[in-house]
Amino acid sequence: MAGDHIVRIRKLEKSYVEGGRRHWILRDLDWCIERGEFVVLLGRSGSGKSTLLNLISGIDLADRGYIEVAGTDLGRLDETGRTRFRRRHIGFVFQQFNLISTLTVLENVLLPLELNGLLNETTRRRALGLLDRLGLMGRERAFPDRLSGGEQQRVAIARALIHGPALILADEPTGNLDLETGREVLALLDSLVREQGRTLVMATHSREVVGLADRILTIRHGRLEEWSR
Amino acid sequence: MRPLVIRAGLRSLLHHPWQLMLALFGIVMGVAVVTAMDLAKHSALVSFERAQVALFGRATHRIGATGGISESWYRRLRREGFVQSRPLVEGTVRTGSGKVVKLVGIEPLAERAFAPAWLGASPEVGKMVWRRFLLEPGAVLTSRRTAAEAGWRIGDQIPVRVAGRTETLTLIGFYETEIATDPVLIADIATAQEVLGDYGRLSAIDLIVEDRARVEELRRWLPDEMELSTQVTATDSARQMTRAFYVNLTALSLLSLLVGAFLIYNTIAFMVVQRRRLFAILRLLGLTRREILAGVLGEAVALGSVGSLLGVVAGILLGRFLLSLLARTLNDVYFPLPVAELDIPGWLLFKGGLLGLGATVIASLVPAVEASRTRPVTLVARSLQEQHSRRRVRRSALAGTAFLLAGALVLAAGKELVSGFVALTLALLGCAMLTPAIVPPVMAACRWLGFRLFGPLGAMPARSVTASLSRTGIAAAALMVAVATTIGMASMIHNFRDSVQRWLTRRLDADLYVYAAGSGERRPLPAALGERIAALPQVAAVGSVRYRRLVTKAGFLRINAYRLSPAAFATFEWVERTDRDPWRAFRRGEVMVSEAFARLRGLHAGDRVTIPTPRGPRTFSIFAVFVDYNAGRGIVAMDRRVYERFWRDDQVSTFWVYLRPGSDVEQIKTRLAGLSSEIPLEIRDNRALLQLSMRIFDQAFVVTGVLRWLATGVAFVGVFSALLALQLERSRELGVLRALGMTPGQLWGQIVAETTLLGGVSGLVAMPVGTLMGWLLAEVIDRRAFGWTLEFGLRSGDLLQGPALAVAAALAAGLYPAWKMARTPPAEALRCE
Ligand SMILES: Nc1ncnc2c1ncn2[C@@H]1O[C@H](COP(=O)(O)OP(=O)(O)OP(=O)(O)O)[C@@H](O)[C@H]1O
Ligand SMILES: [Mg+2]
Repeated sequence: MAGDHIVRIRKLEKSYVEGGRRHWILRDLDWCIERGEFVVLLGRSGSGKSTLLNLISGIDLADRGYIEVAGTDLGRLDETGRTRFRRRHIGFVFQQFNLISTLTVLENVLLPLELNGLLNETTRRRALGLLDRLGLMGRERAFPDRLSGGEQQRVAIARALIHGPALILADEPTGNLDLETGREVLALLDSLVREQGRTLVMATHSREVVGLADRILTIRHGRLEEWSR
Repeated sequence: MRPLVIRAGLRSLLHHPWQLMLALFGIVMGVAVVTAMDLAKHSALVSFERAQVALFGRATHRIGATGGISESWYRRLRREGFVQSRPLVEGTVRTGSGKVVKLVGIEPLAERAFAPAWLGASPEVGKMVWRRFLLEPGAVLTSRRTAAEAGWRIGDQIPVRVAGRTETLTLIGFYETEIATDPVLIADIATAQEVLGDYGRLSAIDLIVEDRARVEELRRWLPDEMELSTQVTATDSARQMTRAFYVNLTALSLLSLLVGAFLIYNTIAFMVVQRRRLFAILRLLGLTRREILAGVLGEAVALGSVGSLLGVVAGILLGRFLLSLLARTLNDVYFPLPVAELDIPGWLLFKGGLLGLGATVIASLVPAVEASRTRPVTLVARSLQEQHSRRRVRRSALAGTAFLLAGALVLAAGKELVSGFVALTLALLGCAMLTPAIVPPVMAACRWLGFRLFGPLGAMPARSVTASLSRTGIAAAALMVAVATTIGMASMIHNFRDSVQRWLTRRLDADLYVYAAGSGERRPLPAALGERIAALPQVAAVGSVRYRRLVTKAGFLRINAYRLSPAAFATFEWVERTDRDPWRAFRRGEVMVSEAFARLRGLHAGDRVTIPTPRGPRTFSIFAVFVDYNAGRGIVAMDRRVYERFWRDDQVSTFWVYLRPGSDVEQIKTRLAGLSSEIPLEIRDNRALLQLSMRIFDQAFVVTGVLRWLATGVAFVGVFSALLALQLERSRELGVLRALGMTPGQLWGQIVAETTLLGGVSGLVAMPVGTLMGWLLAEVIDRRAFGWTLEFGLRSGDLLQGPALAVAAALAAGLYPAWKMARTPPAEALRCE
């Protein structure tokens, strides 16, 4: 077993049947991601970036193939097992922020801690510190719908990182933000992930990211192609 | 425990407090109606039992005989060692104001052993009073209430008319307990005999005999013409008599709970749909399915507990009201009932609460499972929500069909009541599940029509109903159930009333009816009176009927002994009959039985039935089963000659008088009244009797009517809440429309058009479903509980009431959101989720 891989994928296949016809999204895909890497996933709209991230996080099921994340074979876990695994080991950032509108900023960030049974005074202080880092000091009692898009996305980043997951999956995190704000958010995400030694896989259209990434891959016709700079 | 998760869920619930309130209202009403009905029914029987004890004390047996018992039997009984016995004389007298009052003669010393409540709880009946009671001729006691109503005071001389004579009674004291709604005077036995002119005769002798062997001894010892009956059976008999009536009330109150449960289902399902996104995020962040399921069910349990608790409290309040109505009905239709007080046993409250909680949890099961199935991937992937909801609609339609089939099977398989009610529930659920499938095609038609009439904007309401089928489908189903229940209840009651009226009109073929004045079980009249009536010049013919109540091992039954002409006999309608000629069979000594009797005992025309007679048990052939809507355990009807052969009874309950054409009815009435000097008569013409009967019928259905209005109220709120939820939920979408330039007026039109469309569809679907419900209710309540088959017909008034209710609720539900949206700045609406 070569290197310290946090994700290993072998012969992954995913397709949808629509109108009686089968569309292959991912086909015979092999991939390994090293711990601590910042990987960017490029590809045209509809190429299967989101699908691939969903398979890695276990919220979607592959037709065939092997996926191992942080040493766990996802295929051998049942629904509950995958859920437990996900809440411990994976952080999410989405284009649509997906904050819980009925929880305040701070409560949104504390939620993963609570789900993992890690909520206490120390972690609470850590959450406040993180919000501070993300420039949200003073907004922790606000509800998400009172924040701007950039602010919401920063809350989402805090929520994705707070419980120290090994793998962070970001699906077009800057898709809803303007260029400048997008850059800021990316820079924050990058520096935080690197500080904490996490692995980040980001699907995006934005070429801005390219400069920050350790590796860049493109999905085309259901397969991954390594991009060399 | 996960406080944050709970907080997230709760806050989103509290975002729509009115929605919670309405769900709560559903539970509260459902539980309140069931609890109130239970309490009222229970209390009525308890009151009856108390009155029974108050009047008779703890007698175990009663000896009675047609025409009374000679006093000497009482002494002989005591000599035989039956010392715990008491003589009883009962009769009626008419007071100066013409009111009929019951006069009861007792022997105070003998009463002691029986300890009737009125004797113990009467502080004013002191030693002095007892002296006067025993020694003074004409001394009577009465209750305060009777005295107050008649305006009597202690010491008053009360003139009463008995059998053409005037006697004077003296009121010497009050007893405290209200023993019956009937006015009663209590006198010493000698006084009563004297006043009633029944020297040396008793109406009955009551006994306390605990030992079985002694009872058998007594039975052998008594001569044939004396009947020994168990006194406990008074309450048993009340229970038996009211069983069917009670089942009817139970069924209808359970129906209210069912509608309430639908309201709960509707709300919980809605709350789940509203929070789909929340559930998806929570699942994404790592909440397991089971945790979500438990969360939603937990909410339901919390809601159900609060609702049930409030419902039980409301039930006690409502119970008082229902009891007052019920007591009147029981009084008019079944037995004299004293002023009833609400008796509140804890177990009934517990049962009501448990039912409410159970209904809530069951109603939330499907939405809870649905919530737990939320896939986090719907947040990311292109969501196929609409296709999902289409598939769900198809699945629900399939399940609905299965439920309907299951309902039909259950209905066909079982003959009892429970299976009938289960079938009814299954059918209602099945139709509810089918309803969402009907929405899209109807909306397609409306869209086309709207477009034709008003252009693109006109097509929008129908389109948006279909577009959010996952929500509108639930609303439509809830609406349909509510409206169909209303239609069903109305159509059951009205069809029943029609059937009874038709039946009475047919059966009441005589011109005048003559019976003893009074209330409750009326005194019989001598058969000889018939000859005197027939002798009147304007009377063409006289028929008669004698009613007897019998106690048998299989329960109570009534014997009707008829003396009638072939023409009067022809007014009977047959449920089934043998191929023997009915009239000839009747005259030959075969019997006919009422439908209720046949059903209860599983008998058919051509079978045989054994009845106890004073000459021992006798077996009769049944030549037909006849249509009869009398409340009770059923009737065995026979020719009077046959009856006399076995019962040696020459009394009659009612004479039927047929007049020659052109007779002066009023004049004849007066002459008839003058014919009987001993017993005051009551004479009614057939119209008055029909009216009276229908009044009693309506009285019997007052409670049912109230239940129906309660169910309708729950239904209305259900419809209102379903539609309101639908609209308020869309504020964001409506905000977009406003932002795009739709005026508040146009928005208002859109919203109201939408709710009205939805209300209209549901109301339409509710018409056939409501008819089915009405038919099933008639099957369950009338056929299976009472043993009556109705002629079931459609009544447009009941049917149209459905859509009217739905559309009215829809309009009402459209107003608030329209008003709110028109006032909210679009930006605000766009911001909130
Ligand atoms: N549930 C589904 N049923 C059918 N097809 C689906 C489903 N989910 C995704 N697809 C299809 O799979 C393909 C890949 O979708 P995916 O969302 O992964 O693309 P993407 O690369 O993330 O695109 P974008 O950059 O636009 O987000 C698309 O063609 C999409 O239509
Ligand atoms: Mg995507």
